[in-house]
Amino acid sequence: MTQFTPFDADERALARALHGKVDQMNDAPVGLAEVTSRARVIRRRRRVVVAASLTAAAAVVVPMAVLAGGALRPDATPPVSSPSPTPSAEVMLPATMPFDLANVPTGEPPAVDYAEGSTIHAADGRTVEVGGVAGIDELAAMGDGWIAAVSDNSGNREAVRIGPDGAVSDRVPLDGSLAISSAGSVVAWAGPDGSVTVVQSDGAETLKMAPITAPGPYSAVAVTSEDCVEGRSSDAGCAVIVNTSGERQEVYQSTSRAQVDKVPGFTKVTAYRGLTAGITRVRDDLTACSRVVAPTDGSVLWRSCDLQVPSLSPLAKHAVAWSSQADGLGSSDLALVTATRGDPIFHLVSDEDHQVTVLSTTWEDDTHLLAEVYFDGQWGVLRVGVARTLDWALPPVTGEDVDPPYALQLR
Amino acid sequence: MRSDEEFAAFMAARQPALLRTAYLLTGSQADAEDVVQTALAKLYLSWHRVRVRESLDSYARSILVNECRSLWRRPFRRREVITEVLPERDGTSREYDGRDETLWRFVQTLPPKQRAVVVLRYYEELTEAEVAATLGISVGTVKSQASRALAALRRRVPSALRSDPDHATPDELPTPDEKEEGR
Repeated sequence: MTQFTPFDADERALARALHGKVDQMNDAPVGLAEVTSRARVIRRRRRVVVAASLTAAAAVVVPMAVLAGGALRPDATPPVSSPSPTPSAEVMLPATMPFDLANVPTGEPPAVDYAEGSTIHAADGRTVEVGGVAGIDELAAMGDGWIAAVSDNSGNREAVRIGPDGAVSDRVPLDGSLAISSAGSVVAWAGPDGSVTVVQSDGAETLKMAPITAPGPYSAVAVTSEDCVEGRSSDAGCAVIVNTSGERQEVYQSTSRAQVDKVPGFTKVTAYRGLTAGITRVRDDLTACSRVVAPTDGSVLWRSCDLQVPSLSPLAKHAVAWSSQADGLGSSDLALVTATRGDPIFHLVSDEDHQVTVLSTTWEDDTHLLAEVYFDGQWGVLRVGVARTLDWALPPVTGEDVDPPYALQLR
Repeated sequence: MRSDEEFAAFMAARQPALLRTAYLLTGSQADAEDVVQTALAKLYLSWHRVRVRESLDSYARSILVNECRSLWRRPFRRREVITEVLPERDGTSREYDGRDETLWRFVQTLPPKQRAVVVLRYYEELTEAEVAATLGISVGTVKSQASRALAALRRRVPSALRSDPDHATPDELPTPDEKEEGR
């Protein structure tokens, strides 16, 4: 039996300090779903390591055979265990499946507006040619026209107002992205100088909010109210949430009360619809840890270092989630999860045989997501249902991977 | 294989304790939650192999400590973007005072291995043999690391160790032997 040596006074003081620091901590913030999700990632990584080790070992013996057959790519995700059935819009698919788009049927065109180059295809069937712009990067509906983000060949971005006839007016410099309110009544953006502009009331009102003075670059991500005129807006007021990505990644809100406040708890907000989703930190392996936070008391509803949450559905019932390693090039996986718990609903995962990149998404309604994807030299807009359904809203067309053809309406 | 319900029950019962240890090892609520999540995930993957229920705690603790060591070994750890406004939940008790805070700050300055020895020995109150088994080092190394930590403690923050009869609990009052040794 091991003899326990009694502590001396200094050791007891040290023990007391350690106990005093943490003994009141009784939280259990990690849920079973998060643990099993992390376990799946670990299991996949272990398979990659084993497979890569086997490949390396084989390469020592028969290097030409490996070169001829193609070595396992170190960043590849091995096939998930589920079989790969023929995707169908009608049939509920497995909860997790390879990103196999080979037999996806063509469905209805998008029920939201979208731009293709400088042409806007409205959901009501109108086709509007926009003059004076090379292409449209982002599109938000405003009254009977649109607010769009456009860029020139030098990469300078502008926010422009587009009339119902396609005429462009009110070009102003834009930094980052356009942001919209939950119902889409308000569109906002930040300028390269930190200025914050809001357009609302079907385009009749343009408001200058208090500028962000922290160093940029800036990117507006959300508007918290459907009216940003102080006194007319809700009791909570209106705020435009802006991410900064200079020396420090921080989040600020420019409010209808002419105040600019730092948003605590996030280095980047990725989505807001009553709930706030965002990144709390980026780890040294470039994965990001994210949280979804309740609006009332700021309590953390769920958190993950495996997934980030780029979007919440219009009624904040569902969320898009994808790999925490996703960057500006897009994500190789796409998941729908419950917004308040992060429970997985449908997860599409690229593997060796099915390499898909998701560039952008927008919600068609609360149960259908539209995702612009690139695979096998083609671009298409995939409709992904929370009932685990897939169909093409815009069937695949051949294109370059750096040149996405569509800009889906922000929702 | 044991059921998810059984694993969930273990999680519910032991997660706060694992989190407390992780916090002492990392000094950060976010890092602590991160390593606890990974440690529990690894435990989940090997759940069916744990045959002796009594060993679950020590097994989970070993995974946790290894996760922390993995965290320390990451070469670019200092480049992590950790926001200064991250909501740190402080579990400090009401009795916690400036002397304790000084000692805690001292612990945070210890090299990782010494810090792990200190936490496992003086917080978890493991024996030297148990600490050695958990960290995969010899008992001699545990003794030397603990000794170095205490020597540094006495050298660097002697004021935090000064006898304070008003503050000390009966357990902390020096024994007659300690008085004779001039402590």
